[in-house]
Amino acid sequence: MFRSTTGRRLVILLAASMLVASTAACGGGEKTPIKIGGLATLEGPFAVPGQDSFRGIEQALDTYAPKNSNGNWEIAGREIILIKEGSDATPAVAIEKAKKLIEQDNVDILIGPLSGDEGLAMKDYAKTVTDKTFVNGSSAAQDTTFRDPAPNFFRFSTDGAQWQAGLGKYAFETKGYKNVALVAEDYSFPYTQVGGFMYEFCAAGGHVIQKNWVPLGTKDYSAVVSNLPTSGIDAIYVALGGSDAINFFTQYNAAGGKAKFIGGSITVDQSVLATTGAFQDQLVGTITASPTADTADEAAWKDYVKVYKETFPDGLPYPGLFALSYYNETVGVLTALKEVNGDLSGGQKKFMDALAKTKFDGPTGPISLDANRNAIASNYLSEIQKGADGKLAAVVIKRIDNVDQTLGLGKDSPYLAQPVSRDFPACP
Amino acid sequence: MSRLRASSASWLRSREGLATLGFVVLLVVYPLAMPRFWVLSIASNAMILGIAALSLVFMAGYGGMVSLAQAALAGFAAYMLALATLEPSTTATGSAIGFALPALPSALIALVLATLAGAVFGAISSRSYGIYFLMLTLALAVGFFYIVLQNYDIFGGHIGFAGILGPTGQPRENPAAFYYMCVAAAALTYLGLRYVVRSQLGLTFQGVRDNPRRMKALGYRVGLHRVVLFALGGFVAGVSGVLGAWYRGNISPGIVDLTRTIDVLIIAVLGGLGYPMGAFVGAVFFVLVDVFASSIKIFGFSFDERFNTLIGLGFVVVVLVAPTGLVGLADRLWQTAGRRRRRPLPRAIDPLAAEAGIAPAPIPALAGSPEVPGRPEGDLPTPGP
Repeated sequence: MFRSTTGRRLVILLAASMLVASTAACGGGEKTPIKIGGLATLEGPFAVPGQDSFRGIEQALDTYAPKNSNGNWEIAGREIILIKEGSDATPAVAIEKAKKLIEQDNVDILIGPLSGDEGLAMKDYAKTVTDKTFVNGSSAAQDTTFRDPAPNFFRFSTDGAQWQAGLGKYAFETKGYKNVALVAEDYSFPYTQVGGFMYEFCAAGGHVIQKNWVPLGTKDYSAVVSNLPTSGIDAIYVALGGSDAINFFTQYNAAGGKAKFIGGSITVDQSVLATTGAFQDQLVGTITASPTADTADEAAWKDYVKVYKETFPDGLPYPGLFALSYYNETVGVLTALKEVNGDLSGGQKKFMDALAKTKFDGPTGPISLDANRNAIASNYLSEIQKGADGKLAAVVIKRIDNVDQTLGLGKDSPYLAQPVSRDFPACP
Repeated sequence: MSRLRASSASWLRSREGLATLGFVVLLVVYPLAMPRFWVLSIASNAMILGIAALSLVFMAGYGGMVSLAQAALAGFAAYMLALATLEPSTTATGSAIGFALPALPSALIALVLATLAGAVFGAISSRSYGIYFLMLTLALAVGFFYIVLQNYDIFGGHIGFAGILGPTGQPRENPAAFYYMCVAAAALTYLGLRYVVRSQLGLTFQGVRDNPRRMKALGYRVGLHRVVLFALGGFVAGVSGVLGAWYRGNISPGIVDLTRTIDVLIIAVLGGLGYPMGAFVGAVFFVLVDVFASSIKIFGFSFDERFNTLIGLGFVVVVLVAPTGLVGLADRLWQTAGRRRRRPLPRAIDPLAAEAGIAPAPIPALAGSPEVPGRPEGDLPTPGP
């Protein structure tokens, strides 16, 4: 017996440490199967999209690496093991989980993360692990690839600015909006969306005469509504999500606001359109842009939706943006794996070269990578219209193919001289 | 300490001495024998979280102040470190302020400022007790989170800062050095706090904890002592924040959000709020569960998308089975086993604690303080419930 409690506690700690050491020794395994790590957000506000993300990965594996007789996915003669990890949308946790996947689980390829700030942190982490391949999930920050990219980070989905492709030009040229005020949430994703809208809108000659940034989750918009000009603007560009959008539309309408709206990619989705409120009629004619459109009528999209619904009866009514992004990323990985016949040797050099050249037709159109390994892909321009049943729906105006990260302006455009922020770009 | 040093030869031959020696050897050998992931993501990370929890255990155990601001104070130190050590930014991202100082002077500045911040937090909240103190510190923590989230000019907004290098360089490239730095910091803060609680100041803290009114009558400045205690807590939390910033290499508001605030409390409760060493035991347990919950399969059912359920269940079990934390549970088991084999040990008195003044005392913040508002004036002396 120990007379002192300190000694006794130390023995307990010692025993615990031994246990830890023995568990550690069991790590590692045989090399033959290819290990893919999937990282999405399974806690916090993005938990539901996170689950949909994993559906995207699994659907791609089912389709492009069908299960063999052992019940495992297989491509080019090698089995694939998928290891899932969940973060909480903060960069610190995303990196901890990525380290676990890379260093403890020894995954060869990591697919993820889901949100923008996580993506920026993942790029920096990727630079320190040059012999593993990092493929984006659905994170859409511009500078994950645009400025100072990591050579082993690939993104087969588009960024938040690309998601607005076609919108600024259409607003100026077809809708005839010349002066616009904007209301947007104050963080990276809306900055990028606003940037994407303003690249085209400012370049076409439009003016954004006022910017209102509100904290995420704002309930009371009275200050913003009274600050918005009542004359001299043709429309209000709104980049708010979910309940923020509903609150703003309701309060703007109640205050007698009459302006037309232009919507960000998540501003006028089903969660907003399905609500009932006096603002509904005001939403008719709102234009918006997004990389997916539920009602698109291409055969590839319809096939993709059909398989999604069959595979995941408990999934969402339509595969969302997140499922589609992770699906496309995984298809890119599998296409390149097939190309190199499952060869990941030599620090994955051969595989990464093949991945950079990968081209395929996704459910929403052709996808290829630019010099910074960011997707050049399609985007949908839609308008909110009232259907025969009196319900609001987003109707596709057109699909724009081959959208690059500069929205066709070129890398040297003054609008792309700085990272997007509260104050940049500007065309007052 | 001095008693230990005087009889160090005989102490080293005792079982306690042997156990300590074995533990120190294990700590030293660990990074040489283990893969990097276990050195950094498990051991160093646990040490960093443990120091933050230690600051809470110290404040709760010796001051009766269950503070929810410890993660914020750690984050404050991390931000101050970043501002001291990084170059000022000229673009829209990053901070307009930056002093480009070397790592160690930056850390010193960060620790001094974290101590001051602790004193300021203490000055604001130390007049309240119990649940009110808890809520005030929570409000301060959440307030700090929103400041760093929304302020771009100084705190870099939601992106925060990257490229913070510690004196050992990239932890990834030299895991053992970083690990030894964490071990040294953990040992120094632990021993330092043990020294403080044995000192006259430490005994005064406990007097203030147990009966502020009587201490006031004896001529002690109760409010000042609580502020000083909070400042010390701020310093220890700051050590954790500085190490954490060097460990991650970057900081963003995510490190001071509500989840991280509550993580510190969970770790302290898991280990045992009355036991300083519990902070580290709790941290090791927390990190292991957090890292491996998604890999665990029970009856073939994988928890990879439901790992939080498993973590939550694990914590519920610990709190039910061991209300005094893991260290408390181990102590109890040990004593039960000892009683069966030999003789009953005095249950309530922890020998080392009795000599050192480290008693796992009831925590007024949770048990109800003698100065909870609403009590009638003039009911001195206050008998314990």
